[in-house]
Amino acid sequence: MNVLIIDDSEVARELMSHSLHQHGHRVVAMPSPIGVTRTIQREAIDVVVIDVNLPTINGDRLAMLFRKQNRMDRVGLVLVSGLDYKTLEKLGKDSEADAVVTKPEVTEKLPFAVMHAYNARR
Amino acid sequence: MTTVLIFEHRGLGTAMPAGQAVSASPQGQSGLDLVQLWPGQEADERHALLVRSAIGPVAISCSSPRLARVPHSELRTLTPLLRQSLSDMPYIVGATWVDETPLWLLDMSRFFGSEAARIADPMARPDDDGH
Repeated sequence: MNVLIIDDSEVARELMSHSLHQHGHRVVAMPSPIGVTRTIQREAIDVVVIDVNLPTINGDRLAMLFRKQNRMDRVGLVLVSGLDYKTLEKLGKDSEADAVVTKPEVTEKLPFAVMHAYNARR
Repeated sequence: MTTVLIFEHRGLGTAMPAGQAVSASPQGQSGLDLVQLWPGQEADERHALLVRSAIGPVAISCSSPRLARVPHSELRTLTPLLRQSLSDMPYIVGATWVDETPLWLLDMSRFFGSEAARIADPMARPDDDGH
């Protein structure tokens, strides 16, 4: 599976990439959403993992923008954040993300959330 | 495994991705203003560490800088409660352990200046942030 990670934190990108690599996924990571649509098409991305607290645009807002585009229908979305689960779950629902994972749990839960997001779009 | 640079800054053991460090030189030779990541005693900090940050290269005073290899499983991100408590220091992203010593984990790509640095700046005024 091809997964795109958008997170401004280098440490978070490395942790998430490592976790997904271990589960056999190919990972592309970006520090900002600039050029994201082109990257999704060029790299044939199946699932996008978005940090909620991006400096340029809120991740949940970005997820909403994705969902408004028909050509992104088959791309799964996972929101990650240092927020508590309840708040993050609400943001995920509002933005039509397929799964949410809190930052302290990314190492264990992100691979399963990515799989869930992928299946939800098939 | 990943490589981190570990050092002490203002009395706290600290680690950051090794790739964010540019150089370490004896203090006074770098010619750079030093930023303070959090309040505390400078103590025995004889090195100036030049690092890449969100606002460009910045220098941090430190002691005992050295490289170490850490398993990814030993890099822990902050819980929501700690994240909230440390909200004015978004560059503190977690914690790790090297030789059983706990260290704060920094990500200088999230450093946009610090409250401590502004306090330390003699030119800073109380209303600099609009207060």
